[in-house]
Amino acid sequence: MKTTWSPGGRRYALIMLASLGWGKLRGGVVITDVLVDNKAAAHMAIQESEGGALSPLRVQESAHSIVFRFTESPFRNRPAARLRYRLEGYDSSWHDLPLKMRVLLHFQTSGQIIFQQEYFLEGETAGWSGSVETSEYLACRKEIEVPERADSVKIAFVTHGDNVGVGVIGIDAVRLAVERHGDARPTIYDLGFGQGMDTHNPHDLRSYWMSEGSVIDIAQLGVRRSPLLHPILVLRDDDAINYGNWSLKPAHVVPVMPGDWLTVEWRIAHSIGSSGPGEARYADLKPGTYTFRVAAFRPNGEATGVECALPITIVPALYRRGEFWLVLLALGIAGAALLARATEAARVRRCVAAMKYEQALECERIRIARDLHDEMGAGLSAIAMQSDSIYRECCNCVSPETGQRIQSVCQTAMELVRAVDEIVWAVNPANDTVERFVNYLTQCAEHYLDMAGLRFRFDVQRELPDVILAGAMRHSLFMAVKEAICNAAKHAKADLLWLRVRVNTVELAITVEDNGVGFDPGCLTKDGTRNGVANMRRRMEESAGRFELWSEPGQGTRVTFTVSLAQEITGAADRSTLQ
Amino acid sequence: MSVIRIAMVEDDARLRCAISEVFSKEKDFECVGVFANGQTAIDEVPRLKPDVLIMDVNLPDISGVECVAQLAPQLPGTQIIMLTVFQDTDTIFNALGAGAHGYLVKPVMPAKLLEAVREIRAGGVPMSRTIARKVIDFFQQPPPRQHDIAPVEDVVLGKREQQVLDLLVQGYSYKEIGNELDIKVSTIGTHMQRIYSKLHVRSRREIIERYKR
Repeated sequence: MKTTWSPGGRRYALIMLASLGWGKLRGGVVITDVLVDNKAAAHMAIQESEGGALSPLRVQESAHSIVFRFTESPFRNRPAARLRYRLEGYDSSWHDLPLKMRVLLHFQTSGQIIFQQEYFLEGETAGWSGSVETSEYLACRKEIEVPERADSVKIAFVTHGDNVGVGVIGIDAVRLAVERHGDARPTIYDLGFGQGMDTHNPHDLRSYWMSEGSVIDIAQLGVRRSPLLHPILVLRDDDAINYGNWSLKPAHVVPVMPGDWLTVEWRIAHSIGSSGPGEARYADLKPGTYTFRVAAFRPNGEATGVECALPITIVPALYRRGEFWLVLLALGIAGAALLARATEAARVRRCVAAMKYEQALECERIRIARDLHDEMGAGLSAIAMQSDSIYRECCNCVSPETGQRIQSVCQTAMELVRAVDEIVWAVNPANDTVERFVNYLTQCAEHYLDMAGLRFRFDVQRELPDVILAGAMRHSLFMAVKEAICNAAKHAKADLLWLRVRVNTVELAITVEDNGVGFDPGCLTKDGTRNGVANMRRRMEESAGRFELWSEPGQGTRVTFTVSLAQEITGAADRSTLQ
Repeated sequence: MSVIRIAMVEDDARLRCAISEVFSKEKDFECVGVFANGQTAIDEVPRLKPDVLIMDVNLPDISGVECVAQLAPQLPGTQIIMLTVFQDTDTIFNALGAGAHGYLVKPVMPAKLLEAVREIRAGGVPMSRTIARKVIDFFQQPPPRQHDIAPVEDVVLGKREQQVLDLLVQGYSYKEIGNELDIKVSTIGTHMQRIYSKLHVRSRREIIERYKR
């Protein structure tokens, strides 16, 4: 570093300014850790320079504090980076890490420091333009009483504070006034800065001030352009380890006496920061997106473009998010639906299980009935035939009573065969249709009426609908109609019987009518022989059907049985589902 | 008097005995074959050529209807009577279609059995009202046409035949039908025979196809 001074002119060669230019920054900056509520949320091994970006970090709104730790990388280069950080979305400008440089007043006795007064320099002075040449300077004035035993005072401007400090300080117009008790005027010491430009030259400053420090090039001389070009003291610290200072030469220390009132004034412009490592702390950030940036600046605060950026998303607490309620609602609905489905599935399973059970039961009933039918039916048929044969063989050689008893055996056996047949028919679900019912009914009726010798007319509706008529109802209805036909054959003394069948999808109506003697329905209960009517009524009540009786003496009898088929259609649907 | 040669297919041994005993006591009947299952009957009966074959509908191996379907074409001179129960209306009808000429509902009394066989031999053709209703329904349907077999010959009932059946379905006895239509009962028998023949023609092929599956 070389400063040239042209003694003949008032031109300051500014070569030194060029040579004061910063070396190229090596390395970059790195965010090393992010702590959320004092717990490590992320460790970023290394990063980043030249505009690279890290993947976003998501932090819950409930987090109270976020701390970003960062440093220069590689650490302690020279020239050192001056790290500044900024949380975009929160901070309006860059922040320096807190760092202090100092102005020192050393009170001495015989060259030995007995008391030190410090004044701190921190951050940037107002009007800092980026260079000591052009910035506005801040006037500072400090007053202090000279302590006991002091015989002199020395001023020093030092970058020594925290080692990591980097920055630029321009110092101008340092002066000291000593007010002594009894003196009319204070004694002013200009300390090389003087009052007029003629007295200013670097040599003057160098004769007052000496540069010290761990390296020689931190304390430099500079030039200030305002109000006129004149030399100033400059501390340009771009070294994270070393320091430098300007201090009064021993020859120019100011003599004082204890009790003197000292006024120290200086003009100063500075921009001071740190090369890190450092940390930035934020508390209770609102939900949103932010970017935490750490950038390397030159010591004078000039951006280098080297930075490390970490996007941060503060995720709103669940309850603060609209979609939370939507999701909650959806989950609620889904949950309810699942529950309903599970319930429905369970219901269906129970239903199916119940139906399977009923089917199994039905199969078992049919099997039992079949066995009954095959075994008993055949056996009883054999008994009937053989007893009839016996009767025909020996009717001439036994008493009429014996013959009657043999015939009675035959009759009973036949009736039992029919009864078994009816039971098997009733329990067989294959017969659960209106058509099968009507066929069975007419088969039995014509067989019975032929045997009874009663003429009859069938009036059966064509095209019987395909409607279910389940076992229990089928059997009750059959037994009721059979009873009506038997009554007509036995009691009515009729010569013609009508059997009418009418059916739609809702109802099945069967009418048995005769042209016999009839009777007075009002006398029914008193007439013991008409138990059949009570039976018919009971059977129809069992199957939730209707029973209508019309009769008048001499006018014949008409009974109508009606059952509802509506429920049975549903039954048919269930059955088909099962299959 | 010529002897009526009887063959019987019945799976229950007691009934087999009882029935064959009934016939053995009658001078005009001869029991030429008694079979306990359908397959033996199909194998043996064509060789015996009985006048009347009494066939149980429910057989353990082959259904009575299929037996009829297989035997009837081979035995043009044999009349087949089905032994059945009330609830087998569909089966009875199918058997009649397959070639049977009548049916008896169990239990059959010896007298009724003998009477029925004699009647059939004499040309009488019984038909229950329920079966008659099914016959009418059957002829009202268009004949089945399946893509894999030739269309069944379309056979329709004559006017008189239709009248007879209509009255029969309503419960009229043969005698009442005769009075109503002013024809002899024997003429009704002839109509009934024709009805049976047409039923056989129309349904046999269908039934055979059905039971072959």
